[in-house]
Amino acid sequence: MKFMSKILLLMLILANTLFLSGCWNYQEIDRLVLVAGIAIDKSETDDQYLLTVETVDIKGGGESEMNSNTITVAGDTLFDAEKNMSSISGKKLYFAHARVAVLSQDVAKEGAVKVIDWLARNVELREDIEVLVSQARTAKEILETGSKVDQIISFELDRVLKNEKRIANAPEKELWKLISDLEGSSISAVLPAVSLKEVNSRILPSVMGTAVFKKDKLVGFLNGDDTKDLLFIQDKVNGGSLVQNGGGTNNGSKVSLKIFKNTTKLKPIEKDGNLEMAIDIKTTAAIDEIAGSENYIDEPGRLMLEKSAEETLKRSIEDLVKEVQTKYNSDIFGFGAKVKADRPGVWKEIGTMWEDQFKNLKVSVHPEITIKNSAALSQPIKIGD
Amino acid sequence: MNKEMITSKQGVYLLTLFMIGSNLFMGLAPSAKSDAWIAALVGTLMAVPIIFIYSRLLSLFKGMDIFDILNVVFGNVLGKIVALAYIWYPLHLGAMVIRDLGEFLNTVAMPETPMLLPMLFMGFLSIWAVMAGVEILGRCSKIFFPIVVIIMFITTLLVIPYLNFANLKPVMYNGIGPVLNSAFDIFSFPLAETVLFMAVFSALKTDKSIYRVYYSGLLIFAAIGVLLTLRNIIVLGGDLIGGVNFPLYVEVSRISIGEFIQRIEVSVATTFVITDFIKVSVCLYVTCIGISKLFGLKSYRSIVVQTGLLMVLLAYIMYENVMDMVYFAFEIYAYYALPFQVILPVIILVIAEIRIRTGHLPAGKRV
Repeated sequence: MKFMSKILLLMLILANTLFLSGCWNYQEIDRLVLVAGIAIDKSETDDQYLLTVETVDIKGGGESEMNSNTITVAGDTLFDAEKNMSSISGKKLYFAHARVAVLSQDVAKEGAVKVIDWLARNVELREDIEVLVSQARTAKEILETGSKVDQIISFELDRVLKNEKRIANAPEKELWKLISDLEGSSISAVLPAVSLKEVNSRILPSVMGTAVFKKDKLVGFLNGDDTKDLLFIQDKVNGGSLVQNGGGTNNGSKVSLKIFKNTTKLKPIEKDGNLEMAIDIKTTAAIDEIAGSENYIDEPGRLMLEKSAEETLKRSIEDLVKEVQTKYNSDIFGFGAKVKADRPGVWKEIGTMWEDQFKNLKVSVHPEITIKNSAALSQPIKIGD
Repeated sequence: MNKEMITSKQGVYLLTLFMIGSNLFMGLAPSAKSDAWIAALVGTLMAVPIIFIYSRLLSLFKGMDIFDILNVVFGNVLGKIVALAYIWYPLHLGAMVIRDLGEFLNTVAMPETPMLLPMLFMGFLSIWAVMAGVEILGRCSKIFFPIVVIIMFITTLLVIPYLNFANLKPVMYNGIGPVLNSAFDIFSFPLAETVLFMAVFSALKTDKSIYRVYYSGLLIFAAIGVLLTLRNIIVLGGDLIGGVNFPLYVEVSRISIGEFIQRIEVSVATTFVITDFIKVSVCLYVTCIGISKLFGLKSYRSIVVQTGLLMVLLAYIMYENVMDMVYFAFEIYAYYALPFQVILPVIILVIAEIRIRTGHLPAGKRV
């Protein structure tokens, strides 16, 4: 009897292994479609969203091959569009590997929050996805162009943005950062802009410039050079170049400075009752190219070069601030956040009317450029007499 | 009957894991935003006197648990009525913790799996552990404590590139009000929940003073709690902490070192499950002890299974959704728990002191 019950128990346990094995909702990888990137458009004819996904088709075999494919589907909401898409793709769309989300200008102008919410609330999507604004007519054409280096455009865009740290002409922004910018009352959001450019007779997406937001609405774009100044203010420059007209007596040849390191400090100061923002920029650079034979390497030439580079940087940053103040009146630099952090007492008084304050905020720029070396050559190339 | 014993070291670990419980993952004091770490400090200070009361009671009646103490202090009838409160509270608390786990797994890992399932397995595990006795819990915590600490330590090292100290500023922008408010939240959840240990520490080998065990636990927890809260704020920023359900999880999910070390948030989920398990087990243990003392059972073991299943079911039906849970945990719970955590212990201590001083009760009686 004892023996029998033991056998029965054993059988019961063994039977359990049949029923309890595996996962509750397992998903086989061959029944999933991997989404690499998302583009969101507004339908022109009716009040619907157009959701485009770039999917990765992987073919097995000895040499596995990756191909990109796009699907565009309309829906009343983005979630609706996503569900509608399943009826076309046949397989379940898997968003966890999506790397970029491109918003069209129309969507961004109408208010980014409407679409950002879906991106953030979706449990599959990861919040380090990169968000961009398309400067082309629609967002989906960005994903539909052929990629130059990679098969998958979304992955390439992602890599470009990850490299931005060294180029400094577009503000890389992951979803979580965008949300915290949008939520903060003392800073306005910016996003990198992507446009289509003709390169070697092929149309390719190019990430350059900045989309400027006010609250959550797109108000305009900055070009690549202005973006660099913006990144200088935000202390996000870790590389890139400064091109400088030599100046001086023989006014002419251009010099490229390669930026090695940069620290920017914002300091709100009060001058006779008025708030003023001091921007201290400390940059270490190297001479990377002298397009001419003037000597900028010896001390007098170098000092002159530093001085004129500082002057140029100062002027262009001041111009940018002025432009943003008058044209967009949107605090994309984070001046307000800085005031709030450093002078909470002052912010309490002026925070509610920061828009007016920002418009008339005086800004003083103090750049300090140090040239540390002249790359491989110690002299300019001299042309023999 | 052989009395089960835990060493004071195990007691400290048990206490610490219990306090880490579910709350660190839901975020300490999210409403204080970037001042949450100050709130954590203030909350710890607030807990110092109340923990003195618990330890004082336990050292007055050595070897007795709270139900014995109630019996001695209030007499048989009134004591049993008050004991009902301390049976309900751990039952409810345990259910809340199980539910936390269910919601956590349901939200972040397995949205389509029925929530009852992970909760049921946690229930079975705790039933098993409690059946095995408080000694086993003590030894479990000795194994688990280093695991939890190591995971916390490693993740702290890995978030270093993501630190943004500007998030700490401005300090106390909204004044001291929200900070005190949050400090009170932290006080009631989890610090003063250690009132339940008045039923556990009767099993403590009393070679060290009970005060030391209680305060070491508090200190270790305060160190971990303040550190992790600071880390949360510095990485995520105060605004975001108030906006996500499980800040610690979100924070660790940011880690991506060289695109190689990434997606390690599951390590946080592991500590969540470990500490939840300890907390549920302690709650279940206390409930069972209480019920067995109430009805004069020989051993609490005969009722563990029923009580454990009840706890899981209570967890399953107690909230409609995660919004209810967050509302109850952060808005109502602090006031709901106040009688169990503060008012009753203070009354018990006052009456006990009076009766001992007047010679009605011998102090330090061993049962």
